Amino acid sequence: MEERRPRGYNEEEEIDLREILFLFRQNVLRILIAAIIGGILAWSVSYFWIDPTYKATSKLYVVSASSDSVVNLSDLQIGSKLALDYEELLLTRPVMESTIQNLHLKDETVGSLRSKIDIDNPKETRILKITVTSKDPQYSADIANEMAKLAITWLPSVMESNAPNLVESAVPPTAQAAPHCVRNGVIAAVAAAAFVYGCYVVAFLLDDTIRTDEDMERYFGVTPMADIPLENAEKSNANAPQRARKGGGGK
Amino acid sequence: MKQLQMKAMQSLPYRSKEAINRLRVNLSYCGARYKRIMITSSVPGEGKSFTSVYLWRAMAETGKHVLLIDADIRRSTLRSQYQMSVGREQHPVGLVNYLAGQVPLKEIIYSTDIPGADIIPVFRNIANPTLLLTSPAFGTMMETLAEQYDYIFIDTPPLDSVSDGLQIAPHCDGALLVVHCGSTPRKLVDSSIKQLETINCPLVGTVLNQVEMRKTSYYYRYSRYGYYNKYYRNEKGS
Repeated sequence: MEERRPRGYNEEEEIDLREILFLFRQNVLRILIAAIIGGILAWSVSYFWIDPTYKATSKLYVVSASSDSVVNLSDLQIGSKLALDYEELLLTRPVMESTIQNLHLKDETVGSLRSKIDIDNPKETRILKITVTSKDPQYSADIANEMAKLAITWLPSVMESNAPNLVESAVPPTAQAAPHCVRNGVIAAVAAAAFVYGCYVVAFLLDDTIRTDEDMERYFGVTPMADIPLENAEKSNANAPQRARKGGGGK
Repeated sequence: MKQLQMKAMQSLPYRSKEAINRLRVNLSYCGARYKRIMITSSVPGEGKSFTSVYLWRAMAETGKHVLLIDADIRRSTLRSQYQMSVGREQHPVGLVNYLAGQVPLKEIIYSTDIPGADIIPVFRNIANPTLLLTSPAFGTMMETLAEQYDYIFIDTPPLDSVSDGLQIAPHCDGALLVVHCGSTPRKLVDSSIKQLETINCPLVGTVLNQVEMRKTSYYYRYSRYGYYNKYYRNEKGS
């Protein structure tokens, strides 16, 4: 056999995508287990730990017919502007306090009530949606309806305009708005699987050791004369093999 | 010739036995020119002692006259690992005694219960054997022994740890590098190979040790072990 000179050690690494995909197949069981655990954990936390909340919505239509009984373009324009004002005014302190008083809401302050309410005026419309989020469906509905009532009775006197019309009163919702247990579970399962797989990929990319004959061939241009298998791990070394650190040292 | 027993030599499982045989065959194809082979590694614990001992035995079993020299003077593990004993002798002599000029060469060569396989052991560890290894006695020993044996395997210390290996290399025809799969960084292996090149010691071959046969890579299914493994997996090693 002629003397073999190894190829120069190539610092540049080619990342073989097939190896990375193979990593997935190799560890598919562990990734699956991680996904299942993640999913179940997230679902359980959502179901048992997080209190469900319910949203109820009442809808108003803000338009003032000015002269005759039919609405004209300027009425619509005024209505749009008024709707924007209503958005702000409905959350003012007098409205909050009236709501608390009228419904006899204990444990509710102006601030805490305000945080439960969301007023929305969809773009290009004169519709006002009053949405209340709380832990009880009936509670949410009652507040939404009370606020709609106040919008119709109290606000026009402040704004010196016509009253809005009630389109839809709020009904207690049957399904919870949040949390979405199943959805959270699925997202967590996918995230867990991706994380575990990601860890394997990173470990693979950072691995700077020789693992196979192909590695020896690729980096040094020599194929090993033999591969001694792992079964002899206990017998082949006096000491437990330690991860070698760069720079040697020791005995 | 004095007799030495190695009580902890065992018969290897099938795949390891096959691997050692493959190594033996590949080595013999290198030719008669490569007779004095130093077996080394980059760092401790890669399995070069294991490789040395079982390669030595395998070669002897084919009828060759082979010698194993334990040259890991700083930290020899062969004696304890293979439970070497020399009858009732309290202070058996080994390589160190010869290099220090205390005994003649023939006193430190021991025959074993493997026919055709002799050994020069280390019975005393020394912290700094550089002077001993660079003494003329070492060179003389290697020249003399090369005429008597078909193969001489020298179990040397790791190249990255100490310089002993590089002092032994000029007296050898070639080097066999043992690499621990999945443990030794490539840069260290590269450094070892470069060191051997620097002192003009040919790299006869490499051995990959402690390979996880099943899980190595995408390419596993095309490798020789993958293909044949399913036929021989259930065979008990003899």
